Parts: sequence; structure tokens; C-alpha cells
Amino acid sequence: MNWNRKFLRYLNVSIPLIVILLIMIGLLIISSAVEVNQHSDNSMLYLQKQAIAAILGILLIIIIQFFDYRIFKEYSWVIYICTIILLGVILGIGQTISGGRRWIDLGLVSFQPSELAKILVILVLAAVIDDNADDLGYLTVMFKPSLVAFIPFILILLQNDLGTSLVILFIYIVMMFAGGGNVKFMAFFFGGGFIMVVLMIVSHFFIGTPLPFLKEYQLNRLIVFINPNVDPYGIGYNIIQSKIALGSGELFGKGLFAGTQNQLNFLPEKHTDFIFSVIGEEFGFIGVAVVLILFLFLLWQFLNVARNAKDQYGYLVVVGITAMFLFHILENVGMTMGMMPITGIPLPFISYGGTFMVSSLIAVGIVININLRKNKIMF
Amino acid sequence: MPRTNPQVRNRVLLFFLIIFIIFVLLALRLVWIQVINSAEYQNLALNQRLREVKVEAKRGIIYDRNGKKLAVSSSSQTVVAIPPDVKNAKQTAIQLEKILTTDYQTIYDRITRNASAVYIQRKISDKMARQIKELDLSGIIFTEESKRYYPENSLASHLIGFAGIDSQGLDGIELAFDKYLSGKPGKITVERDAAGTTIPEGVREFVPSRDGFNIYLTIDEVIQYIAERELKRAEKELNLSGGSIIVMDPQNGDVLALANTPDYNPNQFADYPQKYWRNRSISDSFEPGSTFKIITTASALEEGVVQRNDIFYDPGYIKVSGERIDCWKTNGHGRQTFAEVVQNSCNPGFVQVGVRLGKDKFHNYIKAFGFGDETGIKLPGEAVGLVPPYEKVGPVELATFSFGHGLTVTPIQLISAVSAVANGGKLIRPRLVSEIRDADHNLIEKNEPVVIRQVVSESTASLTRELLEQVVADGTGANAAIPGYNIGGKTGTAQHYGEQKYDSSFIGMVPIDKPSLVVLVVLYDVEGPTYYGSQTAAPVFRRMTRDILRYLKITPENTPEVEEQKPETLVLPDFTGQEVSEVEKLLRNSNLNVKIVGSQTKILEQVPFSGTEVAENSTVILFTEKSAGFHDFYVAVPDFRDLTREDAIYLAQEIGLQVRTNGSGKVVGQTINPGERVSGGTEIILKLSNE
Repeated sequence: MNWNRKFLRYLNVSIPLIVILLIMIGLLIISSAVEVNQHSDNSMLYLQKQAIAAILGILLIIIIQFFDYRIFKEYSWVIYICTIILLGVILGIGQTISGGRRWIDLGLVSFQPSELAKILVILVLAAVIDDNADDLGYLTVMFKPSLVAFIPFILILLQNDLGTSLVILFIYIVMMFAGGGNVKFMAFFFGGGFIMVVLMIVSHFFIGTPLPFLKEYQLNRLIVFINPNVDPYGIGYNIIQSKIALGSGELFGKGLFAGTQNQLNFLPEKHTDFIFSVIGEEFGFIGVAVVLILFLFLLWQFLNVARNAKDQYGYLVVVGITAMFLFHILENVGMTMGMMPITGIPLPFISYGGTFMVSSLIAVGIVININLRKNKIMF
Repeated sequence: MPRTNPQVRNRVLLFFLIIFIIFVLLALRLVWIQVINSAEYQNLALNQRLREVKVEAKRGIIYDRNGKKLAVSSSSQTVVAIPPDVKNAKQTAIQLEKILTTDYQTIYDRITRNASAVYIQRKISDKMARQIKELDLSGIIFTEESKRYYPENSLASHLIGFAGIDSQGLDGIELAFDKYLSGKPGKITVERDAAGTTIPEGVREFVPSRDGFNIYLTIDEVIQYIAERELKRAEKELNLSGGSIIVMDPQNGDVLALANTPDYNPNQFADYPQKYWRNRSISDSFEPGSTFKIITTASALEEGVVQRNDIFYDPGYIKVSGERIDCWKTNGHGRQTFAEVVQNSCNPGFVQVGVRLGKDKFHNYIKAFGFGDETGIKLPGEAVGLVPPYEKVGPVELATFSFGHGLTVTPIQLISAVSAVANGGKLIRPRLVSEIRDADHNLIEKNEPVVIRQVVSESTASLTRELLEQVVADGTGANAAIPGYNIGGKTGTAQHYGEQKYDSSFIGMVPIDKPSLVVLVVLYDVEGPTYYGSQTAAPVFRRMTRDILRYLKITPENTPEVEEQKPETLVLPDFTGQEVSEVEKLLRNSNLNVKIVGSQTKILEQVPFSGTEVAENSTVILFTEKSAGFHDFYVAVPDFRDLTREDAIYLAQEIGLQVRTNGSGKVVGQTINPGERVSGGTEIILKLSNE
């Protein structure tokens, strides 16, 4: 236990406020997306589950505050081994949902380990980068944290969860950069890697070379990302309907429960992946702009916490968490308007999903923890 | 304790800058979609959730002048596929094929077509629709469409025309008045969800359809029926290629009946060859022959170039510019007055009248009577006939015009022109539609009679009628005479060039003082031996005009002369089972006409039935085959009231009704109402005043 009432002096109040506000918005939109207004039998169940997850998450935030975050650094290797085991287990016994093996059934609730793994990887990666901070400008030293990130990346990729593994990749790049990684090397490797992947995909289309790391449905998502009208009622359906939802919402939206794309089920996955489109349809550009501004403000506050963190480890953890949320927002919001290919990446605090809600709030709890302990001299 | 590295931490600012740029890009993209291009997405959203269902307007009804329905619309079901909702296309197609008349491949292609809705088969029977509904197939729905129905079948088919599958008028009144009849379709916009299910409370917009206007014809169904009956009878008896009958009220130009043969049933118009659809009364022109002499006569009298008692001499021929024109009477009519020239229909006489009239005036009168021009009857496909232009009229043409050769006219032109003589000289536009009213009976349009011009004076017209009366009373039109009525008329016969085929015609008017009826009978391609209009067309005129007069209750002007001998009557025995040829011989010897229906030799049934009294010259129909349509033979029941017992029996037998009477005196009641149509041989009981 590590608690001091003085910690509360340092609390950046806007962080919990914005998070709670976003959760409220999320509950409101979910209630519309699951058609609470149409009195369907299990729509209330969705709301209850989400609210319970949010309450659980908030409780966890409070509990986390009683520990010094540096405990995560001390036990980072334990955390890392646990993460690998968790991800390994899910490959063995996980439930398959729409092509991805991501869930562990715990009886009452099912649990998605990869959501938690993201945070665990951040904690471990921050420790490794911090330990090698002085020499991170060297290629050989950069190899260590890269290896640390690579194993969970591969394990999640093997679950067919390309989206989450890309989150790991993004977190890793941002943390390396923030930790003082050599920008030239990074640009060379990641820029080069990106160009190679693009070339492989292009050659797959034109010459038919195999694409070992992409499943067919993932490839289809890339195809419709480039041209959604290839198959408007098949693989291009989601993105077209999402854009129609957003566009038909116009400036002020159609009003809560009045979005036709939402209420008449034209929009798929509307309470999870495409919840942002529901906001855009029912509250218009004004609605989505408010949500985006809240997110931007939240991330800005996160980076403030990072900058003022007591130590480099805390700094790196918050940057990693910020990167995680950023990627989620960019990917989720971007895909609803055709700027990003479609992946199953939910929108933090708003999309329906218990594990993600809890893990997001744990991340927020860690950020607050670092925020509270920002003062370098403790009495 | 790890050091902090302020330099490295500044990288966080760069990171935030990247975050900020990402958010700006997202926001710009949202502005693009939600503000700048929102209208397009709004439309896409509307289009995919709103389905417009057209509400067909009910097509207007066509009535006869007495309010009898001649064309009506009823609704029928159309099967529609919603291809995205069709679950098992193969199974669905197999099931539908069993019920519908469309083949499997077509059904399959339609229900799998990349469209939101496809007609599978339109306007199916209620039974089919019920069977399909019972199958409860997903993606198969119904819409109501209206189907045109002609309750009187072939009656007035050429006039009414027909409407196609989309309720669009294709011929006749249906075409000519399509814009009135068709109405304005409405629409219902319904909301549907992504699965295609219609949202019950989701009607967004309802634009009601405006039903088509109803059209009231000048046609009288009963007169039309009489005309068609007589035309068909003539067709069978005389082996015609076709014929036309028009009945007109000359005082206002109302067309009371317009019949052609061959005709067709507009309910199954597609089953008939297209030439059967042809309205020969207005679309075909023919050489009028002697009927045209009415025009010559009226023109000459109007110009004063000839008087009633002017003397003409006919040696049997006349030479015009070296061409010899023969009189139909080989030795000629010799010395005769103009009245007799008309009465005798003497060609050399008329040539002289034409010469007196002169090319200028005669040509002008021909045009003034409306020949060479559309009459303005509002029907599609009107021909104008051929009147050679002024420059091409030489002495020979002038001569032939005067007796109706060398030019062609349509039946409707001829009856319009002759009606001008009948009504005191006014050429009146033939009128077919008297009123157009909307579904609530509000008047939309009223067609008043239109006088095109006064062609000849009242007195000329009256004098011409007197001469025409003589034609029927004592001349070539004698076969048209109806006892008790003063009838004027003229026969016409024109030979087809180089063929032993004739177009025979008769045009008559009654009562002659102020005619209320002008009737034209044109029979095409009559083949000898009896081909003269006086022998063929005039009896048709007599039979139908007599019935029409009776139907219209136009009372005889003079009591039938006492000396007119009643036709001899005889009682028909039962011919059932006898040889046709023998019975035919027997009946012909008794001065009865015989019509044989069917190709067998044994008689199965007869009309009139055994035991009925028949008059001389009436027709006995012998049926040799059951299938030969004995019961397809329909008659319109006339109004027997006020007739004497004898007249009533005579009339009933003539039209093929079996009659029973009780008592004597005048008819005061009948078991079947006048105007009703019953199959041939139906028994009618007449109630008489002295039972």
C-alpha cells in the first residue's frame, strides 16, 4: 500500500471527468444502438453489462491508486511471462468468434485477454526502454525492446487479431520514439517495412504471389478500403452504410433514436465497431466533433501527465497508453469514414464491450496513478 | 531512481502535434462527409429505406348513351419478386412454375435478377394469387394492378378498342381518350429496414391516385347489338369479306352504332389477327357507287341546274369524251324525269346532271360535303378517302363522279354527308363521345354537336329526301321498305376492277320528313350471283331498321296499308334427327331461308323450335353439331310491349326466341326485360291484355 492524501492535490481532474463523460455518452448511444426504445428483450441487458463493466473499471481505477506504479516496473518480467502465457493459452482454448480466436469463457463473463495484453505490453516495454534509455540511439540496443514487443505481436497475430497486433506495433513505435530511439533507424525500418508490405500486397494482386500473413477477409477489407463499391452488398456493405449514416446525419443529426441507418439496421455492428457512425447519424457533425474534441483534450491531458511524470518509466507508460488510445481512436473513427481499412478495433469508453471497457479504465487508472505521483520529491 | 531526460521528453510535443494533425484530418474528413456532401448521403439513406409503391389509377369506365358499361376496370394481382429477399431461388422457381403460366427459366432469371423488385407475372387470376400466398415464399410479394374488362365482349369492339397490360389505351376510344381514361397514378412511400421488412407505421407519404374519367358514348348498346347481329347474319349468308354498318342521328351527328365485321373480343385482343382490329368504318375507303348520287342530286338541285321534272333520255349508254358508259339496264330507261333518274339510279342520266353541274361546282360540293377530309370523329386511324384533285378532273372523271365512281370515301364520310341531306343541309361532325365525367360524376367535358357548314339549303335537302323516298317506295330501294314508315334511301354497287367482286351498300333515312335515323350498310367483296346493293344491303337495312324503330319506339307514320298482304305463315315441324339436305330443300320450297350451323348431316336442334309459327322469308337455323355454338348464339330481347300478339310472335321468331303467349290483344308484359341478352332459343312468356 502506498497512499498519501497529498496525492490528490496533483490530480488532473479533467481526466476522470472526461472519461466519465465519454462513458455516459457511450451508454446513451449504446441504448440507441441496441434499440432500447423498441423494447427489445435483451437491449437492457447490453446496457446493464456495459454499466457494470464501467463501475468495475472505476473501482479498479481507485484500487490502482493505492499502489505505486513503479511496482509494475519491478515485476515487469513476471508481467511479461504472464502476458505470454495468457496469449499462449488463448491460442489453445480460446473461443472462435468471426474468424478470430480472442475470447476465454469464464462462465458468467467471457474475457478477451488481448485487450489486457496491450496494457501489460506497455508496462513491460516501458521498463525495457527505460533500462536501455541511454543507449537507445544504437541499433543493437533497440533490438532488445523490439524483441520484447515482437513476441506478443506475433501471438496476437496468430489469433487472427490483426487490429490488436497493429495496436501493439503502433504502441511500440511511439514508445521507442518517445524513449529516445534513433529516428533515422526507425524511419528506415518501419518506413521500409511498410513499403515492403505494400509491395507484397501489390504483387499479390498483380502477380499472385502468396500473402502468408493476411487472411482472405482481411484482404477483402483492404480491397473495399480502396474501392467500397466493388461489392456494395457484400464486403463493401459496412463501409458504405457507415458513410451513409455519417453523411445523412448532416450537421445537427437526426436526433437520438431517430437515426434510420441505426434503427432500421442498415448499419452493422452499430453498438460496437460502428458506434461512432451512430453518433454521427443521430447527433450530426456537432455530435462527433464534441466526441473528438473530448478525446483530443483527454490525450492532451495524458501527455501533460507524461511530461510531468516523476520518472522516465512513468513517462513511457503514459506515452504508451496515449499511443494505444490514439490508435484506437484513429482506426475506429477513420474506418467509419473510409479513411482506414476496417478492423474490429472498438472506440474507447464508448463502444460496447466489457473487457475493453475494463482494460481501458485500468489504463486510465495507471495514468492517474502516475499523475498523482508526479512530484519527484516525496515527503 | 531513473533519470529524467527533458530532451527526450520534448519528443512528446512532437507526438502531440502528430495527434493534433490526425484529429484535424479526421475532422476535415467528417466535414467533407457530413457537411459538404451530406445531401448525397441523405439521398442514399432515403433511397435504401424508402420504397415507392405506385398506386395505379383506376381507369375510367366507358358507358353507352344509356349508362350501360362497355369497358370497366377491375383489380387483379401481380406477383413481384424482391430478389435480395428470395431465400432459395431454385425451390421458389419450381414452386411458382407449378402455379403460374411462366416457365421455370424465366421465373428463375427474374427472381435472381440484380434488382430491388421484379415482376414475375402480371395480372394473374385470383386463384393463382391465393395458391402462391399459401406457399408463403420469402421475397415474393403482390401488388394490385387494374385489369381492363369488356363485359359485352366483342360488342362495339372497334369503337371501344382495347387497353394493354399497363392499362394504356391501344386502340379505339381507349387510345383516343387515353389521357382522360387513364387518370393519374398515386404513390405510397413505405419505409423498410435493412432486411427489407416494411415498417408497419412507416408510411411516409401517400399521394392518392386520381381515377380516370368516365366516358359516355353516343352509342346505344341495343342498336349496336342489332347492327352487329344483322351484319354477322349478312356475313354468313352472303360470304362477305367484311362489312360496316353505321347508325347515326342526323340531327346532331350522334353515332348510335358503328359495327364492322370481322370483329374481335377486346378481352383477348391479342388472340386475333391484327386486321380484325381494323375499324373499317373509318379506316377503309371504298368506291361508293350509286349511294353517292345523293350528293350529286343535292348539289345539282342546290345549284338549280336541274329540276325535279326535267326530262332526260337514256338510250342505255352515254358517251363521254369517246368513252362509253353503260346503264345497268341494258336497253336504257328511255325518257324519264329527273325524279325517275334518281329512282332508277340511271347512270347516263346522272352523267348529264354532272355535266350540267360542271367540274368547278361539283368538285366544290364534293369537298363541301366533307369528302377527302377527316370527319373529325375522334378515333385513331381515320382515312380520308381519295377525291382526285381539281387539276386531275377531266370530263370522264366528272362523269364517273356523278354516279359515285372514280373516287373513294369512308363509310363515316358517306353517312356524315348523307346526314347533311337528312337534317336540312348542315354537315355535322360525327359525335361519338357526348360527355366526360370524373369518378364523382362531375362534368369534365361536354361535346356539343358541331355544325361544320351549311352545305345545301333546307329546301334542297327536303326535295332530295322526297326523291330518295321514291327510290324506296317505287325504285331500286324497294327491298328497304318497312311497312308504315316513310323511308328514303339509295343503293350502291361498285365492282372491283377486273374481279367478279362487288362492294354493295345501302344508305337510308327514316322518317323521311325529319329523319331521326340514317343507316348505312356497306358489304365488302360480295360475290355473285346476287350482288346488287338492292338485293344484299337493302334487306339488311330493312331488318335492322325495323328493329331499331321498334326499340326506339318511333311509331309508324301511316297505318300499314290494308292491302299489304300478311306474309304467309306455317308451323314448323320437329326436324330433329332428319337429314339436313332434305329439310333444307323442304324449307326453301316453303320460301324460308335456311342457315346451317355445323358440318354434320343430322339435325340436332333448330331455331325457331318446332311448333312455332314462322312467316315467309324468315330464317330457320339448323344445328348439326352440339359444339356448333347453339348456345353461343345470343340475342338481345326486344321490347314487346304494345305489339299485337302476331307482331310479337313474328319478332320473337325472327331473332330466335321461343315464345309463349296467353290470351289475345296487345302485349303488356314480358318475362325477360328488354335489352337483356339471352342465349338463342330461350323461352319468353308474353303477357297479353286480354287473358
